[in-house]
Amino acid sequence: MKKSKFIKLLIICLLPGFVLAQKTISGTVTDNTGQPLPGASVLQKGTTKGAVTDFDGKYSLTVDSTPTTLVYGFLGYKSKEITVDKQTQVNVVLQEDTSQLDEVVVIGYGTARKSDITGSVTSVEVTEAAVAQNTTVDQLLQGRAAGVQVTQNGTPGSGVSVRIRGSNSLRGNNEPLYVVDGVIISSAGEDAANAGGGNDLQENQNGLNGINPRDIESIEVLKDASATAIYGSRGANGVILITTKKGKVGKASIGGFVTSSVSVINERIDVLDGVDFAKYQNEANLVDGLNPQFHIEGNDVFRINYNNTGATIEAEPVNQVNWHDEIYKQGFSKSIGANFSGGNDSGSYYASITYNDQGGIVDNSRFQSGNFNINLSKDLSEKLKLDARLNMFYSSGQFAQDGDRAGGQRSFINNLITFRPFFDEQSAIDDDEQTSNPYSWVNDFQDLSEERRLIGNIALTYDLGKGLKYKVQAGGNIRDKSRDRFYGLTTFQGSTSNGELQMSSLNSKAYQINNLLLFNRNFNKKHRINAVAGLIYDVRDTRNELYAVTDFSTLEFGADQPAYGQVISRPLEVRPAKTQLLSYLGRATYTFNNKYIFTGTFRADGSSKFSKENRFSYFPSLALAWRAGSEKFLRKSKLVSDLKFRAGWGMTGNQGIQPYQTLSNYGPQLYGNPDNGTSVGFIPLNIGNRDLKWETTEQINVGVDFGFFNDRISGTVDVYSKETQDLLQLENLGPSAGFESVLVNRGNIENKGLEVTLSGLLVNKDGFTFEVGGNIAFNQVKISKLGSSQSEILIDGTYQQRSFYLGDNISSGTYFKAPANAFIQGEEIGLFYGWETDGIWQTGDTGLPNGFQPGDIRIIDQNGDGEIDGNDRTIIGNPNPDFTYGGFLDFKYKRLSLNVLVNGVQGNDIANGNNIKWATPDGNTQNIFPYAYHNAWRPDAPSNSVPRIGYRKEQTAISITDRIIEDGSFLRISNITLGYDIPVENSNTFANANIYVSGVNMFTFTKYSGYNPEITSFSYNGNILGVDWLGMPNVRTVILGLNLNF
Amino acid sequence: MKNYKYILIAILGFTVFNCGLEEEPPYLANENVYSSASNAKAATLGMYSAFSDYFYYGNQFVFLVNLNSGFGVTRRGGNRNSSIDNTTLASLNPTSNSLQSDNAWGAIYKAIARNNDAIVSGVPFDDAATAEELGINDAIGQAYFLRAFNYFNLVRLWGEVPLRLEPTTLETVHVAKSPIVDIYTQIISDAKNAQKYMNGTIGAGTAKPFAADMLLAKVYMTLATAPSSHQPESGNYWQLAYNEAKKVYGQYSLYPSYDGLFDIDTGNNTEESIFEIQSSEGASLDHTRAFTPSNFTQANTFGWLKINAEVYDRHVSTYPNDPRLNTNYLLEYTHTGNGNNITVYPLRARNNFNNGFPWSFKLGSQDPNNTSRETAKNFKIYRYADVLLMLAEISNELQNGEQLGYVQEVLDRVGLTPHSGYSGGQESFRDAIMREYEFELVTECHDWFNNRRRGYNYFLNNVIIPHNTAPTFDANVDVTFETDENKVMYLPIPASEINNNNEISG
Repeated sequence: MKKSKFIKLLIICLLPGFVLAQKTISGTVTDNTGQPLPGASVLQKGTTKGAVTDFDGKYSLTVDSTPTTLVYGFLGYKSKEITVDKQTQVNVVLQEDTSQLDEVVVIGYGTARKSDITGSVTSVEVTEAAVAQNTTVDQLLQGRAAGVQVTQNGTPGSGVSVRIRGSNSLRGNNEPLYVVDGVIISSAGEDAANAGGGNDLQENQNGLNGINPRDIESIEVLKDASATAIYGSRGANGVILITTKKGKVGKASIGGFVTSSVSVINERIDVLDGVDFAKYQNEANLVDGLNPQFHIEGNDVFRINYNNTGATIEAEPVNQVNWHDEIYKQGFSKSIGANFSGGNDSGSYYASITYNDQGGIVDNSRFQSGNFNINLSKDLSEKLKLDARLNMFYSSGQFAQDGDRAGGQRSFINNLITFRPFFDEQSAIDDDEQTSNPYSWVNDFQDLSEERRLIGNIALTYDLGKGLKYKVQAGGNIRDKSRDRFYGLTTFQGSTSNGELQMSSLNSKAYQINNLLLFNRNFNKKHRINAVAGLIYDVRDTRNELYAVTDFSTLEFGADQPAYGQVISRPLEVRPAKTQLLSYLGRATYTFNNKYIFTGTFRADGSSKFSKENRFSYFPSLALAWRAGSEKFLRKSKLVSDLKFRAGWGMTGNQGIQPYQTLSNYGPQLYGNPDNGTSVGFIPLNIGNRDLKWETTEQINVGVDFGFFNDRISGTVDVYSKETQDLLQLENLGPSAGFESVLVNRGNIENKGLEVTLSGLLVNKDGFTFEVGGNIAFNQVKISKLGSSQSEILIDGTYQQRSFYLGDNISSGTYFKAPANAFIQGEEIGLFYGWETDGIWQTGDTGLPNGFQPGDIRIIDQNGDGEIDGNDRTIIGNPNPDFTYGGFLDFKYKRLSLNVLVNGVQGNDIANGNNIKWATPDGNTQNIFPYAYHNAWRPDAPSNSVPRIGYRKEQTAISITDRIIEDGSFLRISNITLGYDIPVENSNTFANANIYVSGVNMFTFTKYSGYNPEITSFSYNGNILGVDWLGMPNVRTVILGLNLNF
Repeated sequence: MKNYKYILIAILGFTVFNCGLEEEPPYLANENVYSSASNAKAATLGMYSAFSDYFYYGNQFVFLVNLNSGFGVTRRGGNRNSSIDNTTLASLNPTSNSLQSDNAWGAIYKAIARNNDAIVSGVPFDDAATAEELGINDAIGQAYFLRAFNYFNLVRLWGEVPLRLEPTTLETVHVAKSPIVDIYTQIISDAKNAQKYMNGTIGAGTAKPFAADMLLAKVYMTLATAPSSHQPESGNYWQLAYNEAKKVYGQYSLYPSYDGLFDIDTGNNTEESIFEIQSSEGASLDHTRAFTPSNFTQANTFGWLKINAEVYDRHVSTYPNDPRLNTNYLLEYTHTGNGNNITVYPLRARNNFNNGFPWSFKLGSQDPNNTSRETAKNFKIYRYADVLLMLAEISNELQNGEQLGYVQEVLDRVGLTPHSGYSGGQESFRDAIMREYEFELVTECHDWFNNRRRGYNYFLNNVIIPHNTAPTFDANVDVTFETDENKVMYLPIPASEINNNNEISG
């Protein structure tokens, strides 16, 4: 109602007025904090005369005669009538209309009054401070919505993982569905494929680039089935609805911003310095009966060379290096952009442009992007409306974060931490397996990525009258991403192959056609129906290309020119994948008397991924809400200003698997031929499973929304229970099956949880406001059924018959070549499974297991058979958090504002895989933690914490030990922003100006010893949970920013 | 205004019309694979490519059987005898999580999966006559040959293993181990089918027709000295072996130069080759990178394989001037990085691990100017010299009088004559011929099998004890061999199989 009045007013104001000047009334319209309200309306009651305030809240209106009544209005504020007689200056303070009951929010395939929502929907505020720090939309969600867990690290362009209400699936990708202005963007977790071979690890990069946070008007998080069932087979992981900014009716507005920031690494992992490292190596040699390698004199270390005649000490000491200090730098970033918007009664426009340049904390790490966005809305006729949007994105980046699952010298982090703290000529030629040094990753390695993306849609809405509208919308996104990785001669990979270049590209096209019939009408003021019926066709067409060459005749061109690679180690391979989804959907919301609300939705999805028998699946939902706050007995209450109870049930699905999995496919494979050329044969690629079907999640949600003291305190509590059946997952096979895995429907998983959100405006007077809010979410996950046969597993001290399977091996190399997780029926998912330990075996101890000696780790022989083997493994930790939480503090005093944002995770364990190597003095040539050397067990200095020097049982161990399990809880002050509104009221140029300084990741409180308790390794692998393996460090960033409006 | 409605309705109609949900996979389907000779040939190359896989003959299987044969040590993972590979594989004490054992197991079964697919999907012609029919038959025959070969590797290395004869389906994900005798029965049956269908039509790059006979001869030879519980039926296995080996005799000939046989320019696909894995730049075996001595070439190579001192010494003391020594071992070279002269035992004292062993030289690159790990040097799994040595051994067991002639043929090439051990009676001949395999075929992936083929006592007395008591033995330099029969004769089933196959427990 308000909106239409407002528009009417604006229309009036914009009419050119030919009036006889009688009397001019002017003044300022402000809110109760003294802030001017630009765009507020002033209307002479009973006439068509009116005015709109300018950017300083000032207005001027000429009236024919006095006394007269002026009506002051502004969206979201209570309008005020003032009778004017003699005054010429009238200043008005408008009170905020806190009831906000008629706020319209976006829901799937339509909009609804917020008061009519029956599902669990959280709106995420998109603040200026938030968009200044994050370049992708998933990062914006961190800590801001209960039950939404965001895991990220600070590397530019790196992948982010978002989980809503726990994991629904045991496949890797549990990312929610992102919908931008009604068009599905299903690319979170999508990246160019890896063109490297077996061991190669390519860190995932962000798949949501191109949705610029600065262009976002609002974000809605749909969490329960009542809200998401309308997305049917794609709604199971929750839905993030994004509405982008549109132009507003009124004078053209121009905004600009510039930010500049500096990032530093926020953790330091120390290893032995040069002298201690030399001592360690010498001691390790002594233990093995070998000659010492180094001569130490004071702080200098000299190599000892042995040849046929004997030993000689080199004349020059080795050059000692602290690799942390050497490689990590400050990263400088900047960002600049502008937006232009405006509109009139028949349409609006919004256009923006943004440039980002993010520098990483390693020299060659940098990410640049540009974004151009235009949003148009136009009434083509009285009944036909056009909305069009186009977003173009370009990025190019370079990274130093890659590596190899084996975790040797082929991975950046491992190389940096463990490479000997020396750098000299000898280092490079001493030992071939030690070729690659940390400099190689900066000077001789390139991981170049380039992305182009177009997201666009066009919608036509035709008003058929009587509340009925027909909307057809076509939209989609085209994404081209390439990733080229070049390994020069000083890198491990490049040194054996004389240079290696791996190229991959992803070309993805996704489009949808939505046909929607929308109905929204009130009957007799008591009945309201809001309904939609639709037919959706959704196509997703991706194409991956992979190519690799080695043996470069010249290394001048790096990644730029593959033609100098003389050997094609991977001929151009194309992997197309096309999927179609055809859906029918309907939803009806019936509201009675503004108090009782009923919603029913239904969706039928047909997917090309399944065989005919299993192709279609059906997803219904039902929900009820009671707005108790509108009942008579509460309407007058001073305490309770709003109260609503909700209950809903529904089913959603998942079909997030690769296409063609129901079939057994053959693909190409190279084999050498006698002429030193290659022939292409073909090989079976997979075990086809014709029986594959939908994974379905059934969810019940009960919630209450409340507001107290005129909504100064408001909140939401939700309780839910959901169960996913027929889990689609890759079952690991024993290698004798000839294939690594097979895709099956297996098992059920349950999630139960409680979510609480609270916020309160605690102080609001004399220009000082203080608002505080927080959210907390408890989620308990359980594997309710696995469906495989039972076998023996040790749980809580007894061997039990259970159905279970083990996760993937973490590494393919010598260390951590074992699974870390077990998935056991009746237990939480992915429990850490391994050996319990109890200190170190001491001299004189009896009962040592076979093959153990004093100084070895005292692994508990659970079954007492004298052997340490797979049967001695048991549950040693739990990667699932007890709860996740977030919160904010907002202070505002006149022109100053201070915002603090925190988020945290409590009660989860992390398997810190790096410590298997870094904390064990195994006597190899790699560097280790100082305490692992100094506190190592020695016959004359028995330690009970660190094993002996030369302890190599961690290498190729079939199991992890509880020594690497750590508490992963953390509390992070993720953001502090101090802002100041520069006084520009008297300026003719600026409407307003705001300057701020932000600190990102300023403080993290955690006991976790690794770089970052937010684990992003293996984000998209459902068989590995909570394992930190070569994870990148996080960064601490300080941002200085300026926003201007003209 | 009405026009808009029609446009919208037209768009709607177009949408519905276009909604196909049938998949059009960009992959070949099973029914097309064995229906033509050209596709069957491509599928055969796919089966062969399993052998050049990094985990199989490409690298790790070669590493595994050499290190665990009792002849090798490695500098991989730490240049010392206490490194994990040396204390497990090289010490004859492998674990269920030994990297190469785990990976080789998987690679062999991956190869078998391809063979099973061909055998189950392909339909051979009874009286193949046309090139098309012969091509399909040859592909199926090759599949039988390779499956027999692969199971022969499995059963010898691990003993009882799952016997999978059809492509895995959802119902056959978990399969228990089969008795050794059943596996041998299948191997013999497959080898006979291979004899029946292989006809050489596919040709270049695949096993030659008599490869199946040689395989069957090896199987019978192995069974001849195996426990009777491993033998499918009673019989004179030496005689059976003789009959099969004799089919190969005269079909091939020795390449004139032993050294040239391992030369990248001359050694590929010679008249001596019977079953050879092709390597090309672009589809390369990893032998150059893994097995070329460190800093011998321009490229960064690992030199992962060194040979135990007593093995080298035994060869020298038997044939002091044998030209094969220079092909098999490298003792001295110039470091490409710093120009230093590098020497190892026996050219210098064995005072540490690094210089205590001769380098294996046969597998990697012999060219100091090489810059790449990619190599066109093939790997010979079966060659004719082996057949001759087998015939000598078999004939000695049968005492048919032919035995010395075969040895003479092999030694002729390197200008040697059979040493006196060959003329000391059957037992003395037996000892001599078993050593002759070593001198001729060292590091060619036969040592593991030949050393154990005659049972634990032979292995103990001829490999383990001679090592642990060698005059050169130094506990700071050498590995000490395990002697427990339960540990040294078979590899433990890999952890990845135990973890994921419910029918097999540790």
